[in-house]
Parts: sequence; C-alpha cells; structure tokens
Amino acid sequence: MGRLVLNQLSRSFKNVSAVKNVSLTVEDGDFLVLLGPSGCGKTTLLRMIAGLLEPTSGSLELDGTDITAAPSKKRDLAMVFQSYALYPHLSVAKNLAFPLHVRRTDKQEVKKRVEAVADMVEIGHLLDRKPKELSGGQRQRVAVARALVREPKAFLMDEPLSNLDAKLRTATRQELAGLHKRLGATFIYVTHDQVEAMTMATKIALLNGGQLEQLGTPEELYDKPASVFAAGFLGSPATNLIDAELSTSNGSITVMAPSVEAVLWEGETPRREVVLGIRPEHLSIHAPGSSAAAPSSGAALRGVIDLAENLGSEQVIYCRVGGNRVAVRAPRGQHWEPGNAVVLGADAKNLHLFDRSSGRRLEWQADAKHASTASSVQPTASV
Amino acid sequence: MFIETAGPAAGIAPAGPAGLPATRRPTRRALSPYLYILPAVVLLLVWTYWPLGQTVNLSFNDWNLIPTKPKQYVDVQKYAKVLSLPELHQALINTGLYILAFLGISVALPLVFALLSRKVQGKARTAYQALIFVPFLITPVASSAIWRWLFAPEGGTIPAIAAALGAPMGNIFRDPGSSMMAVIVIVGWQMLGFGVLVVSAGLAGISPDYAAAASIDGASGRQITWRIIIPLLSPSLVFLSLMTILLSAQWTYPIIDLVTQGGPGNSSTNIYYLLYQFGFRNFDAGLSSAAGTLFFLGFGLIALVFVELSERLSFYDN
Repeated sequence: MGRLVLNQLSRSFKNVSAVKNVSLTVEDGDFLVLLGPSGCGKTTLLRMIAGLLEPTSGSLELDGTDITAAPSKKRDLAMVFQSYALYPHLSVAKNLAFPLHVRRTDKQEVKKRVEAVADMVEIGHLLDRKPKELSGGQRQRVAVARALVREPKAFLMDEPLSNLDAKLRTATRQELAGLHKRLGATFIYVTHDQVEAMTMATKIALLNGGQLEQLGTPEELYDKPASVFAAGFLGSPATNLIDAELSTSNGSITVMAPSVEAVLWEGETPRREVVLGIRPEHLSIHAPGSSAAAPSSGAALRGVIDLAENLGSEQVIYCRVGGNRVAVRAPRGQHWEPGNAVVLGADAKNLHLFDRSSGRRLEWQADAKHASTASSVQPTASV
Repeated sequence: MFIETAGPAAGIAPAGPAGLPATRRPTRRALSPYLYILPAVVLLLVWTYWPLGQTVNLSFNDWNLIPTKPKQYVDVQKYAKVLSLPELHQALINTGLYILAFLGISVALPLVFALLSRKVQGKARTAYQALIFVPFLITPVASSAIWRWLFAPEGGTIPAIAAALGAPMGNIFRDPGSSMMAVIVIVGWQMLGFGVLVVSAGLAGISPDYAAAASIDGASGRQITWRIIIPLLSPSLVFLSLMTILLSAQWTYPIIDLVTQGGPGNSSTNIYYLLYQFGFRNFDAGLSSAAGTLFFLGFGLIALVFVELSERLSFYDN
C-alpha cells in the first residue's frame, strides 16, 4: 500500500513562501511526477513528504495515518537523491544492505535481498566496488537498488536522471517506467524535464511559484492545459500564445488579434480579453492564395517567415505574425524561405483559450446559451 | 553497384600558430615548470635540507659550539651515549604521555565539540566556534603568563578557589606530580580550538544528503553519527592525529621553557626541550644532533604510516 494525501501543505523559508497550500492525493500504484521550472517548490514538496523538511502548515497522510510530525526514519519511504548520496566509505553491497542493517534484519535475509535487488537492476558484478569506482549510470542503478531493497510504501525520486548523458537518460527512463509497472508501487518523482514527465507519469502535478497549477494525466495536461503557464511549459517548441479578443460576429464566436482571425462555432459571448494558444504541430503552413489557406472555420494567421530550423526528422518554421513569433512544425521536404509571406491555419478544436487576467483555461459550454458562455476551469484537487 | 563513401579528407587540421621557430618553443616550454618551482625548492634546500644535513653531520662529531674549536669525528659514539642516557628515556616517556593527552584534547574532544555544535543553529554556532578558537591565536608567551598568574600560589585565582573548596593546592609548576599536567592544561587549552576548527571544516565538507539518505533509510541519529558521519570524517581525524603526534612536542616546547623549564627533575620535559638542553645548556652539539637525527627518523616513520592511512581513508565525496 502507498496512498499519500497532502492537505494544504505549505512551507516558507524566512519570508519566502516556497510551497503554498498544495493539496493532492496520490493513489496506491500511481507514478506521480512533480513537474515545474527551477524554484517552483517541487523539491521542497518532496523533502516535506520525505520528512526532511517540516511543513509550515498543512498535513500529510500515508495510508490513513497522519505522518506530518513523524521523523523520516519512521515513514517507511525510500528516496533516490539527485546526488545519489551513496555512502562513499561503503561498498555497493554494504550500501544496499544499509537500510536493512539499521533495521536489524537477519544477516541471511540481508544477503538474499541484496543479491536479489542487485540482479534486478543488473549490478551483481559491482557489489564489491566502492562508489568512487562506478560510472554515473552505475551509481544511479545502485541508488535505485538501495531504494528497492526494503520494499517501502512509496519511492521518492529527486531528479535521479539529471546527472546522466542524453542516451543513458532515455534508456534509464524506460527502465524506471518498466520497474514501476513490474512493482506496482507508488512513485513520486521530481523533474523539470517535460519528456520524463510525459513518458513516465501516470499523473503529473505541475507546479508554478509554489502552487499547484494543474493535476492530471500527461494527456490531460498536454491536450487541455489548465492555464497559460501549463500551455507554455509542456511541449517543445512551446505553445504559441497570442493576446487576442473574444467576441461574437454574425452569430459565431470569433477570436481576433493583429494578423490573426479565428471563427470558432455558432454562439454568443461578451467581449473578453483572452490569450489564444496553438501548439506548433496543430498549425499548417501554406502559401498565400492557395485553396487550403482559407478555411471556413478555425484560425488563419498571416505572417512572414523569420527562420527555418532543420531538426533532422522535421523542420520548425518561425514566422512573424503581428507582434508575435509563431512556431510551426512542418515535414522535411517542404521548402520555406525566410522573408516569404505565408498563411498558417489551425482547426477550431485545436485552439486553446485562456482568460488574459487570471490565465486560466476557458471551456465552451454549448448548453448555456444565454448565460455566461465561457467558464473558467479550476485546478482539480485530487488525482 | 554500391560505392563506399570516403571519410572526411585527412590533413585539414589547422596548422599551429606561425611566428616563433618550432625548435625554440619546446625547450622553453619544458623548462618553465622547473622555473616556477625553483623558489620553493631553493627555500626548502636552504632552510630545511641543508640544516638537516648539517645535523646528521654534527651527530658524528664532538663539538662544543665554539667556532674556534675544531670538530672532532667520533663515529657513532654520540648515538651510543644518547641512547643510554636516563634523561632521554624520561623525555621519551613524557613525550608519549603528552601525545596521548593531546590526542584526547585536540582530536577526541574537538570531535565531540564539533558534533555537538551542529545542534546550535545560525549565528550562535559561529560565535560558539569563535570562542573555542580564540585561544589558538594567543601567543604561547602571553598564555603562559596568564596561566602562571591564574595558578600563582600567592593570590592566584585557581588556588584561591581550590582553598575555598577545602582542597588547597601548592605551586603546581614546582610539584613533580602535577607539573606535566599543568603544561598539558595550558597547551590543551590553546590547541582545542585548532582541533575544533579542523573537525568543523571536515563536517562542513560532508554533503547533508548522506545524513538525509541514512535517515530515510531508517537510521537513528546515533546510527547516522557512528556509521556515516564519523567514517566520512576519518580523513580529517587522521590528519589531526598526525599533526598532534608530530607537532605536540613542538607545541609544548615554549610552555615547558616558560613555566617549568622541564622540571622539577625532568618530570615535565620532552624530547625537544631535552635537545635544546643538550645543545645550548650543556654545549654538546654532537649529542643534541644524534638525538635530533633519531627523532627525525622515528617521526618520519610515523608520518609515512599516517600518509598511507589517509590515502586509504580518503573517499572523495562526490
């Protein structure tokens, strides 16, 4: 079991508030990724869960027991540190045995479990080595093995892949995801890397400025970003965000901005300042005047090509649209010259609208014809 | 038909900078490291190795330090004599006792103080450590004077307190049973701060992640201290022990000279003070040098053992 409930958890350092009223529930077997930019409070949150930092306010429950004041050694959690924190004076075998030794586990049992876990992460041949004699990837495996050896209620991981090179990171990422599936245990994983979050998580908690910005599956976060921040953080190149105005024209909802015109669907709405978000892969690029350049619904953006970047598998075209720079993903083989005028198109269903002042997502409710036509989506409070 | 593609053309690496003829540069470059270390080598030769050679040379001669009197070669007679002297045996035993006492005061006690001072937070910790370190900055002459006043049989604060508590003490510097203890107290008071400083620096160099990891692994505070912190501190402790063993005879020398002059009856002397007495009180340069050479070899061996030990104990925390 490993069901963790965070209730209004906050932490301040002197006058700086690092984590503000975060409430979320991690169900048993979840792989929750705490995602966010540097300084968003994700590591502080993890250290509070681990018992290494005391919360300023709020409470924590593990499997129904309040552990807010429990010392970390009583919490039955395991953690993999960014630095790995392998005890440098102990061999790999003794590092793995340490959590069992301090719990006075029987020697035969310790030996059996150390060997089993070493086999599981394929470090059986390294057991007699000291940490300084290991490569970065091997150290990472030992750190994971030390967490696994004890069968804790949940695994906490603080950016465990950040010290590995790109190729090893991809391979280890897949192994960790595989490990989570095999064990079925609860994982709480801190990273600033959106690829790690998207590929491994069953749930992502996106943090910004110490607050929970959005909580949901990777698909939910990507397909329905709950705020301008969420839309801008996930995806590379980032979502194009354009300040625009929402209004009604000829019985249809329209979004207008300099060089941008979008007709959404039939309906009525009061004028509203919004931010229009379009992912680069949802934009198509056309020469002006071509038949595909004038869709009846959806958005049309008129711009001039600024730069074309060849990424090998595809190209990213950057265009000047009004005062904004808009990125478009395009297949290789199309030839786009900087300086050429183009028209960019996107389907209405792929447009995201956010309130300009609150930054929250606006959802269309078709049945509320005469009431307020767009409602702001609040972050859900449980997974 | 397949045609294998060629690799990038060879020989396109940029040529070296033009200018100086290729033949002159390597010589100058090869010479420069030696030029950099030359000043240090010269100083070492003049101030360390030349006197060392002179000492070894003197130890085979009979000479009373009078420049007009010629040195007389006496083979190993001085070594035979110095080894048979009861003063030397007493000084060796005393030196051993001093070292044991200082291992306690400047290694074990600082470890306890430094570990305890981790419980003190913020500015209070800095103030606490500064207070312990300050005596190290006081010159031995000044501290000897202060302690002599404190222990003065007539009007000294400590004897006055002892008398008030019903345990009158005499002149501790003139009592064979307590003169060595007096030297240990004064030197220990000065050296404690140095030990705390070295151990605190060692502690500061240990990543807090280890203690955090051990705590999550289920270790208690005591287990973390004994199984993680102290083993990781061992390079600092080995260094401090080596310093104590090699230098305690030097640290005690000025205090012995200032408060007891080795007495009464050699009860508080040590090997360095004895060397000084052989050479500059008895004017027997050969005897003093023979003893000096023997101690040099003895301490050299101890140093080698410790260097080897510290190599084995260095974990390179990364």
